Amino acid sequence: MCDDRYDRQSFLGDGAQAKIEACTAGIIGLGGGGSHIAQQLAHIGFQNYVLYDPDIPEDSNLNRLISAKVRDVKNRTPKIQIARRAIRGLQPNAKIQMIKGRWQENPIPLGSCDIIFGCVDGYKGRQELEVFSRRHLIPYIDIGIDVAKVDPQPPVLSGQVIASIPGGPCMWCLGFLTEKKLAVEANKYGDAGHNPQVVWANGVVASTAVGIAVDLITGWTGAVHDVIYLSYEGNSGLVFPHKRLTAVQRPCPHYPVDQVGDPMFINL
Amino acid sequence: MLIHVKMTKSVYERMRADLKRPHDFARERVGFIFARKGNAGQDTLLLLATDYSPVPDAHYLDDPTVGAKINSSAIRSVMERAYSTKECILHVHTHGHHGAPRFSRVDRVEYNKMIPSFHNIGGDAVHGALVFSRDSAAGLIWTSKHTSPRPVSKLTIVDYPMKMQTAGTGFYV
Repeated sequence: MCDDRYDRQSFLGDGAQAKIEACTAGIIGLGGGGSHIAQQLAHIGFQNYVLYDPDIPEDSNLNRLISAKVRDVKNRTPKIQIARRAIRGLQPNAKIQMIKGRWQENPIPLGSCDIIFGCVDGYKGRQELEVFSRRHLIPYIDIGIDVAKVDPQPPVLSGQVIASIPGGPCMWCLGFLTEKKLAVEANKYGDAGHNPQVVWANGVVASTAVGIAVDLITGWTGAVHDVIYLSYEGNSGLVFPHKRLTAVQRPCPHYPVDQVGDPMFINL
Repeated sequence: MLIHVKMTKSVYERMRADLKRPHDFARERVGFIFARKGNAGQDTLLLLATDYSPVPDAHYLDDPTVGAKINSSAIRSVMERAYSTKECILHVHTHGHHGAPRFSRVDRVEYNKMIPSFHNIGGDAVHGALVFSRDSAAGLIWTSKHTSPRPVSKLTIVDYPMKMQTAGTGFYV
């Protein structure tokens, strides 16, 4: 029997646990994807969190919201409190900043993060998060899943995990964000709709995102990237590099490296 | 106050590549990183590097008593840029050893003359200095002309993998 709590992840390297503990992780959206990520980061040993979600759970969330109980719906327990409960159960001394609201209304705590996980619906929300992350030189990891129905074929379950690293290609460069997609969403007044969500697919993309984050922080695989774009094919259970990666433009023309920091007026 | 300096891999690598170039007579090179402030809360001063600016060969002065000495034109050009862009100025140089570096006595004497004068530009920018060893770094930031410098608490090279360390354990860069 081994007393070291993190002995089974010691292959991450000397000093890896200290790097993990020094890292502040921001999670935007503590629903089906973000609740997985919060729980896994706590297992791994993260000690610093910034959590954003304005919502309380509904019955329809219980098919996928990790750590949620039936009584949380009845008690109207905010999703950020459910996430905090999960983290506290594993890391009683963790520093957790909870913001029950949209991050755009109180973005300052997010600026202190070393890594941001975006678990949001819609392209507009993703675009805004990537802009913030680039301005503050914070790696941004985006996850999402969707289900497409084309009769008479079976539904197609798919998703993505994107690591957008400042200085590297962005979600525009990858073609994941386009003016057309944003316009279509805007025509619905920014309503991304209620996408189908299932716990196992959320778990795949969330776990993949956490794996990327641990490698980003510890460098245990020895891999070097300037961007990661993985596709998830839920029907076959496969995760693989997106074909768009072969045609991505470098350097990123959308976020010049000198356009960082808080916006300010400059005399011309 | 936690002072956190961040720079992308490209800025960091341009700085490293320039500082290791030999000079005709100077024993080492120096340069300047420009940065903007980001908002990360009242207790944190976030400095986000925008660019690395080398010192042209002709702006070095031949003084064998120090590793590198630069002329007033070098200082004037970085101050002119910072005046226009409202950026922060970070003087950078390297020490050729491993482990946590320290500013030398000469460094501190010269910085105490040079860096507070950057505040003559005006505005709310802060200015300072970073010294890099082969695998570590240390920094000081003057938040105003008349206050003592504060140590950089955390330095991040934004890359994959990320290189991030806090003061006291030696910066890993």
